[in-house]
Amino acid sequence: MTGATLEVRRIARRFQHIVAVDNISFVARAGHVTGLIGPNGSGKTTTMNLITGLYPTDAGSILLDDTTLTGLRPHRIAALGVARTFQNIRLLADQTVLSNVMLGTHRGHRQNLLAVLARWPGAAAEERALQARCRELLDEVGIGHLADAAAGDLSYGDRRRVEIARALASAPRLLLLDEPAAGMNHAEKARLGDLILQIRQSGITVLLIEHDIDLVSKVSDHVVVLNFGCEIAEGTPAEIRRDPAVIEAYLGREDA
Amino acid sequence: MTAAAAQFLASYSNIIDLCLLNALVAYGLYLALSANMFSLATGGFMALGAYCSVYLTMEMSQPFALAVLAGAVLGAAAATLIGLPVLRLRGDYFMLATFAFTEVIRVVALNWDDLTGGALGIVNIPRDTQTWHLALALVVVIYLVHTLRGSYLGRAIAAIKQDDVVAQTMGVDVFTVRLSLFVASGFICGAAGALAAHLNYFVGPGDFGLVRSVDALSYPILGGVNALAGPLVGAVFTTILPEALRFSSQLREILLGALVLAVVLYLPDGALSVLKPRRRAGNSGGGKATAAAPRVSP
Repeated sequence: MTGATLEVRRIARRFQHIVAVDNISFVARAGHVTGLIGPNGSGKTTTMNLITGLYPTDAGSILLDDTTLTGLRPHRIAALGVARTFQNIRLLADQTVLSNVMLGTHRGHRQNLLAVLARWPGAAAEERALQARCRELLDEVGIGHLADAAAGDLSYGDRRRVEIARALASAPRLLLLDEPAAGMNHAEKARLGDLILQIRQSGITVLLIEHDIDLVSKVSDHVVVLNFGCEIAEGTPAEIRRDPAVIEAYLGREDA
Repeated sequence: MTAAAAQFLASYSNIIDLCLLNALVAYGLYLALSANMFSLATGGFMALGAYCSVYLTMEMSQPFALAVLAGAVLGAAAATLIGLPVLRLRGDYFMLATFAFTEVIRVVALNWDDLTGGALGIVNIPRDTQTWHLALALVVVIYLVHTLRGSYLGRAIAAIKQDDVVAQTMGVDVFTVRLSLFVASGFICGAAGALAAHLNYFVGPGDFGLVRSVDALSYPILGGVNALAGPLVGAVFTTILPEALRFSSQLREILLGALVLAVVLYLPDGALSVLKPRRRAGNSGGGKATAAAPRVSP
């Protein structure tokens, strides 16, 4: 699966009187990892919810390659190859890890309701093939041995890995990761960084929302910085670290 | 068949029929509940199925099987008409709308004398429904529900129930799945209404009111919606219990209410959850992050 280019053009979104996203434009290039950083409340997660269609945009447009995503319902956007993880992990806690990941294959099933109800052999074969694929994915993210455990029993870091595997199970062209390192310790973060680079290797475009600047620097080709719902800087990780506007946004003005 | 068994069936055939009928309705409601649709439309669907089928058998002299099918299709059509606008609304509005539907059907049945006999109802309906009809319908429905649960569509439905934001994000067309389930529920309840009408010689507008809807909702909830057998157990239990409590008509309602309350309080996953091994305390705490998450309407 090859990655797709995400283009965000002057999008805006307000909630009553609060402007969550004022005017944001950026491009996440195909096959690259784009970091999206900014202080709390700068509009990162809202941007992600706008891309995945959970919120409608008030203005602007979002394109995946040449397809307009704005105005589409979330399941349509997912069908076009956009997958995501959630900042506040959203797994079905009482189901097995494998079953959670299998949810990601929903669009991969070709058998219709009648074939399922008639127990058409093709439906069972398809389920087995996708299940094998999901076990492979769990191996790839490093938790293959936990496939049959209940998702709710896993450690924090492992649950984040299940979310990533579930997103990968949909064979995405664009993967959105919403603060995947939140709550992880140093060793877990290092392994997560390797995993993101491994996903990049497979050709999938990654948009990474993250607070941990070291992780972002390690994996990103390009970084976009948001503050108060606008993008204030973009460039390579090294350029961003030197940018006065970024330093001001995070640390405050020097002469204040 | 031995004499004892024959005598048992003869003495209890009414209650067996009722158990089978209520179990059928319970699976109709189970389909709706499996995607968080607390439907109070059951009474309305059953009334449509009942009056439609009775009209076909008594006035049009159509075969019984065709009448039941027509009742089911009418129930499904009504479900489509309610579901299309209302399923986009929040859950509580859905409940109100289905309640209103059942009331509208009841009031229409009460006043459309030519078709429904008004408050007096219709009498002398041929008793075409056989026990094996009910049993066959129930077996088919249970088989289909079982197959659905085990498929990727069942997995999508379970995801909608627990977290519809995740389901949408993973590519599940939540609206279409819920509408389909509600239409299937209308189909089963319509068929059940037709079968019920041809079981009792009589239908009246009071047979299919709000009480019927609430009873129907209580079967799968009491039995448990997480197990395949839950609706069956809930329906049989709720049907037999009033009979077992016949020794005191006053105590009966109180005991029944107390039992329902006890199940809701102590077995929130339904009566069948006593059979499941308890999960260790604290397991469920971490994973269910969904409770605190903002709900986003589709």
